[in-house]
Amino acid sequence: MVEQFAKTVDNGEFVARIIFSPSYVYKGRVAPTAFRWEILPSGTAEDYISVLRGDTKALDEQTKNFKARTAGDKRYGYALLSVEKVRDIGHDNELGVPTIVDVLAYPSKAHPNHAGIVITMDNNRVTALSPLTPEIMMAQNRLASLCSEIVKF
Amino acid sequence: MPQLVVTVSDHAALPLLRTAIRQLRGVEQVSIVRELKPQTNSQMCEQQKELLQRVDELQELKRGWDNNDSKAIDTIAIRKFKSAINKMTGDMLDGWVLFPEAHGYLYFDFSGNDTIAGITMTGDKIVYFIRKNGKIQKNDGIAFNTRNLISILKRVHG
Repeated sequence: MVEQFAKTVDNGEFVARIIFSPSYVYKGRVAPTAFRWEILPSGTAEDYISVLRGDTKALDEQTKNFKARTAGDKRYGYALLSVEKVRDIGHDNELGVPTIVDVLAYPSKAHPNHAGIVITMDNNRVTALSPLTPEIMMAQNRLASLCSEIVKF
Repeated sequence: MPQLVVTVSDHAALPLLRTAIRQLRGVEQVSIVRELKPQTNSQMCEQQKELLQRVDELQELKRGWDNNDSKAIDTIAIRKFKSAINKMTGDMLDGWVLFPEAHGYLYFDFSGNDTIAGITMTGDKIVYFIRKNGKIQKNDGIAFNTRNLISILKRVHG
């Protein structure tokens, strides 16, 4: 049975950032750079950081079929983040620029639990084409620091 | 004017040495010219060795290491960073961890009490932030050289 997900992501939920490269985890820390906006194979620049909703049991089931991105690479796992804490990033101008961080549902046929972390800074939505700035790095750092648990595949 | 050349192995001794030489009769001026020789592996502290090993690991990442849009780490960034490691000390490196960045950059991440910091190193520039006791220092592009990098590390621990 396919689990149904609400159209809005609740503050009480957790989301998982899938980490395909073991190089993103070192000395028990998750790399801030693991939270990135990708250029998809179609050429589309992501305007959110891709995550999955659901409990660890469902995520374990879903991710067991994920393949390593580099041939011969050992896969890694996923890091869990509290939606409420993600949305709290940027409050009180902590990043030095007006920032809104949200988690929105982006369900797909293959992954009905797909969602995205959307970051807007100075009224501009961050995408894979945004130039690197210290503020974006700070937001990535905060996301990495929220990883409560790293679950290996 | 006659010159005196003194070779020291511990740079921490330089201020004391300068004071001592000034007190000698006949000395008019003391100029310390630092000629830093690259350290050999056996002269490095454990943190330096570990960091070099980590750079070597990241150097192995091939294009596509994190999806199709990820690039191998820039060879100039690697060369400059390795060169800078020579000039770092164990104290400076406490709390720092090196990660790859999918554009082919190196990312140096710091986490400590009341302080977080991040340094992205491309082949030619450094983008960084330091948030220490609630105050932010940042720059979206200074030249990537050893002096600038070490200056940031010192500010984090200083």
